[in-house]
Amino acid sequence: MEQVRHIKYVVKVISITKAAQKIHFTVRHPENATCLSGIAITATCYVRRLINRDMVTRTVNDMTGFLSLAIPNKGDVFYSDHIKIETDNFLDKTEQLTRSILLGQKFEFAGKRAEYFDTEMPITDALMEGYYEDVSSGNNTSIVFNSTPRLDINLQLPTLQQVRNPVANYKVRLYLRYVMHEKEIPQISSPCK
Amino acid sequence: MARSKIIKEYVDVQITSANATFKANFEVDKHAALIIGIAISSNFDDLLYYRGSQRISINEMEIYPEEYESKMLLQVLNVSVNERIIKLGEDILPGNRQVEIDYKDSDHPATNFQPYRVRLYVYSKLQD
Repeated sequence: MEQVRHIKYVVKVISITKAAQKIHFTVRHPENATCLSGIAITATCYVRRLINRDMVTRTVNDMTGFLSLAIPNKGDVFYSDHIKIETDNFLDKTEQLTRSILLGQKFEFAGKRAEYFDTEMPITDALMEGYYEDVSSGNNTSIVFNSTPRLDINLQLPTLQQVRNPVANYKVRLYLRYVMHEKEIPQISSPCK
Repeated sequence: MARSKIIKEYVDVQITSANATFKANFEVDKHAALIIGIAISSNFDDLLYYRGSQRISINEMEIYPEEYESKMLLQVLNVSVNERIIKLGEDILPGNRQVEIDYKDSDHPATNFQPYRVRLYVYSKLQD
């Protein structure tokens, strides 16, 4: 029988509306999905960067939450991740000319192409379970300095600008990449290939 | 001189108001035999990165679903020019040749809205 294979993306949006929120959710796999081939996660929780004297990025706590995915009923967690708060990630994706005088006008390439975490999980159930726990509430002390203070007196300097996203609401997006087989076949020897 | 076997086409979506969805569509070239990839860009890449999500379909087949963020597709200067095509993981038959994009703009604390343009590129192979 002719076999048609293609890729399908599924996006699960998890809305966080209060601090320390815990959410159990389920994701239904698409029909004819044979393999979960990739996972990516983003969060719209946002904090501007803190820059110290050495122009090194610092954040008080750069985690927005913890997410895990499990096989239903068995409770087997097959994927878990601490989700990072977004900290001007767009700047990481641009080509930057840094310290041109000191470095002899060399270009520095920062950041990388957004990619999925590759998995090879055969789909045997109709759905999977997920759990998300918000831990971003510990970030409400984030501050930024208009000048570049000394490291040892950071805590005594006045707060010049509160930069924490004032709205506690944010969204976590879970991206799932599936390998699909459009037509039923009696047996798939290697579902992820 | 040999002719390029890759056809590059694009469609623009003008984003004129915040927190709204804008649609655009076009037909791929009639000589296109297979659609091999897409790319997305903007005249304000930071707005596209932070504010955008879109649904893209080709030949009425959903390639990227609603809520798929533009940051997952955006390729900027840190990616080599020849690697900025996002391959679809398979070659897609153009079918009715309709390419559609539903672009959704959403507020983000890192940006202030101003009108911007989103451009969707579609790359296809020429018939032999």
